[in-house]
Amino acid sequence: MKAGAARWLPLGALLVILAVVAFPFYWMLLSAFTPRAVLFRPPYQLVRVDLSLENFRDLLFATEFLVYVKNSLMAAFGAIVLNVIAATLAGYGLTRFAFRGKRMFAFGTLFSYMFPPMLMAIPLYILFSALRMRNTYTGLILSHMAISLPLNIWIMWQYFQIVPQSLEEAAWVSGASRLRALREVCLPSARAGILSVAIFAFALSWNDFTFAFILQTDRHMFTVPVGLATFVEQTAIHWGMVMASAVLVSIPTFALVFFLQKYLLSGLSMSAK
Amino acid sequence: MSARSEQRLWVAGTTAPAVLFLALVAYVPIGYAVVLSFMKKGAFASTATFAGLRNYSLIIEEPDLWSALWRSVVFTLGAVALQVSLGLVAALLLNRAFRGQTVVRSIFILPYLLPAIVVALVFQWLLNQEYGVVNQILMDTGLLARPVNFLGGLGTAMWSVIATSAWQYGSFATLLILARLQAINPKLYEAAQVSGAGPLRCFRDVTLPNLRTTLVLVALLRGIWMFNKFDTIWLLTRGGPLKATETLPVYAYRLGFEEFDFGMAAAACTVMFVVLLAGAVLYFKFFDPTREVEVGR
Amino acid sequence: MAFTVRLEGLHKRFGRRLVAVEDLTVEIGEREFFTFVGPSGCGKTTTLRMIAGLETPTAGRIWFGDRDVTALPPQKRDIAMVFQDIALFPYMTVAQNIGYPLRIAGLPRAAIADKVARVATILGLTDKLDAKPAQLSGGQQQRVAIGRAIAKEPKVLLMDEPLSALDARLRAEMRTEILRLHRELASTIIYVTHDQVEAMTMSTRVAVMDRGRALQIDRPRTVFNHPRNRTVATFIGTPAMNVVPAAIVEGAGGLAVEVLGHRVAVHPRHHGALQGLESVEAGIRPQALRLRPPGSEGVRGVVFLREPLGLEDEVLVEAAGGARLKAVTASGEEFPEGAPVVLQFAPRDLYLFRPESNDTLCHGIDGLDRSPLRRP
Repeated sequence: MKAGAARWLPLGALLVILAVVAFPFYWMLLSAFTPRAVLFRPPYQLVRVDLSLENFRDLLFATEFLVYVKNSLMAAFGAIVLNVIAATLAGYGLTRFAFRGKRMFAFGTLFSYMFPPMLMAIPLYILFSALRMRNTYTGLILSHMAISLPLNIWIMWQYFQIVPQSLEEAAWVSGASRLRALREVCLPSARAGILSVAIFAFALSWNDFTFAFILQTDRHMFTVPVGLATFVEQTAIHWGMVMASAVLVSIPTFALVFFLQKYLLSGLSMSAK
Repeated sequence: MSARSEQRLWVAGTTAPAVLFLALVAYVPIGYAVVLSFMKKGAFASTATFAGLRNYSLIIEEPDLWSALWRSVVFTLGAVALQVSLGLVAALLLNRAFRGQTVVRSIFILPYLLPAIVVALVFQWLLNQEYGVVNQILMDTGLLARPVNFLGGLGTAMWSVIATSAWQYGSFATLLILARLQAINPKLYEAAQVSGAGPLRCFRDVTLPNLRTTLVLVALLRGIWMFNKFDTIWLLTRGGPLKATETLPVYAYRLGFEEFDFGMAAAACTVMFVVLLAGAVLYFKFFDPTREVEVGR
Repeated sequence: MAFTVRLEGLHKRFGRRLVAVEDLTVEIGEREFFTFVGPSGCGKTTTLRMIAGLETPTAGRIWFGDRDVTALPPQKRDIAMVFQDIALFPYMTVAQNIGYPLRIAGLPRAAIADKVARVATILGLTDKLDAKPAQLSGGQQQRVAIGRAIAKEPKVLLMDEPLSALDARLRAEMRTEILRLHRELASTIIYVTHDQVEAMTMSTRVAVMDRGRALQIDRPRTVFNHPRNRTVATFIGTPAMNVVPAAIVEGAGGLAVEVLGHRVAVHPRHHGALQGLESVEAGIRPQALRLRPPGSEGVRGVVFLREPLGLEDEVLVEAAGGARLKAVTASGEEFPEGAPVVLQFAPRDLYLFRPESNDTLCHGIDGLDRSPLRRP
């Protein structure tokens, strides 16, 4: 063990970095619970005792926040369903069958994963306008597939490689058709992968701003990120309420990380070499 | 049904949904964007007329394009450099077993999972000139005399945006590098130490060579994404002040939705796509798609 | 009704160049315990999978009785299979695993429970019926896999190296179990293994395979005593047969074999087989070599290595001329490492192999007819 300063320096540096990473969260939470009157009056203490829920009240009852939440949830669940179906089927097909073009499929999937939302949003806007799909849930869900499906195909591809084919063969030899074996034997073993897919589909949809911003122009179809962006365009910004909304919007993320750590980290570790 | 055609049905059935979705929402729009860049189309025009290279020749003469391109480069380089270097430092510091390891790891992953809107809102609040706590802390510690308009000042806006992105993505880079660090066989360090290597030498001879690939991978992918990033920048500054943070994606947006010239916007998008292609080719040269992939953006 | 399994000209090619199985023809009779044995990559597992329907042959046919099942999917063949990696369904209990084929067949729940109970009794799994595979030991898991296979009372039971994942003692126990099962059930068992001891002790007939071809299909004793070629001779039998180069020379009374510095006369009946050959390979099993004190008649050498194995020792002798030969002798103090020794063998234990094709030219050059080599 090194002596003195050399020993405490890394620890100190780590604490500093941790503080920098964690501070914005702390400030966000604190401000969300600070009543309006206190919030704008200097000096600002780093710790406060007079906390209240008035920002949340204002948010939920005086704005269309709940409408935005509903829209976001609709889009997210749609994205989950479509992602799980498409990615699971694709992962199964890619690992169980040999066919020409598999390599191209891999390249194509990974490449499309690199497409930035902005690049696809403008043409989608035009396409969906022509198809009258702007300001619809369907259009939004489809656009969210563009950012989450490539990743999810990848995840299910990896997961199905872990499920041994001999499990299905044992089912076939016992008389089960391929479809039945897939349903009864293969899918349960890929449960963890499917859960990861659902998590990522939800998170990427819930967090998306670009597509929702460009495709949804009707106020009633705004998702949460788009709706919140309008909050700060007014002249007198109700920052406490804005921070309250930030807290609420972050909750699904926090919940996911807290409860489903191991699935998330196993999905990430699969990609981090 | 014969076995072969049944097999073909399965292959088709399992890959069709994925292929269809990807084609519809990813490849078709990109293709359409490229086609559109050769057309003249206003936002309210119902048809597009073929215009050849008109958009490109116009856009090349637009000083805004070149400024946007330059700003994209600045943003990308700054953001990636910060993310990778800070990520490396943090990963090295975290690369030891200690209590609360999982808690710390969870803290590190949170910024990455936040929606861009939340990051933007929180940082707008933090960096606010009148009420922001960052200004207050800097003044209280004597580093600043007057509050600074971080996001609204011409000289500070770009750096504030870079710093914000570093906060959001640097922690993720930390986790990726950390994962790679922990995969390095500890025996290699022992062998080096036994041969007389001090900590700096160990880092140079054992850690860096193993990390090189990951660092390049992280930098490359981050670079591609930062170059094409729209939401965080837009939400923080709307491309301002006075276009100080108008990068290429923001410029494309302005062309399409504020100047209503979709042809030009598509041309700007195609420029983005070409840069993306170059990056992707570089990436695929290094890595086989059947081995590496990174999560999220 | 039991049926014979007939493979006709079976051929399997993977991709453009890898030929896994080449021109395999064999008829497996009802209730046989038939084993495909050979080194890794010889095509035995591929053959089994073709019989199961998990692989489609590139050419050739498979008959179950008088039914051509070549194109039939595995679900429709009346077979069951035990896999090398056991492949138990991890999210089902032991009872559900064993009862799975019965559930697919649509049997009523009571009947399934009944059969599962009976199978569990046969295999000693009655108290584990509610456990999940992860809670069982390797041996128990393998028994569940066997249970799942025999639950549907198949006509043909396929086993793909079922014991390779078990430790040595368990393997010996399971061997007895499987033999017992074979006696009790009325099924044909087609078995695949790389362990020739398993093959020799359990089977009614074995097919020794190498690089996709069946080299010899016979009863175990026949394969051991009358190997058709050098590959079979050196693969079957532990320790492996010693093979050394030898020369055919013209002697006073006809042909003779010069091996290890000794000349042994060849009986006239074998002269035809050896005609035109100058150099061959000679093989002799370690069990056929006797150790004698120096000065006796025979091949002179020095004990290079001595490995005690309990009742017997394996002795590696370096003969004059450099060849190293393995012999087996009773455990004892005689002939320690480094000691000079003489090896003796009887001409009847000598095998001669043709150099390129490895075919056995003759066995036992003293003229006594003990070789069924002339049978096709």
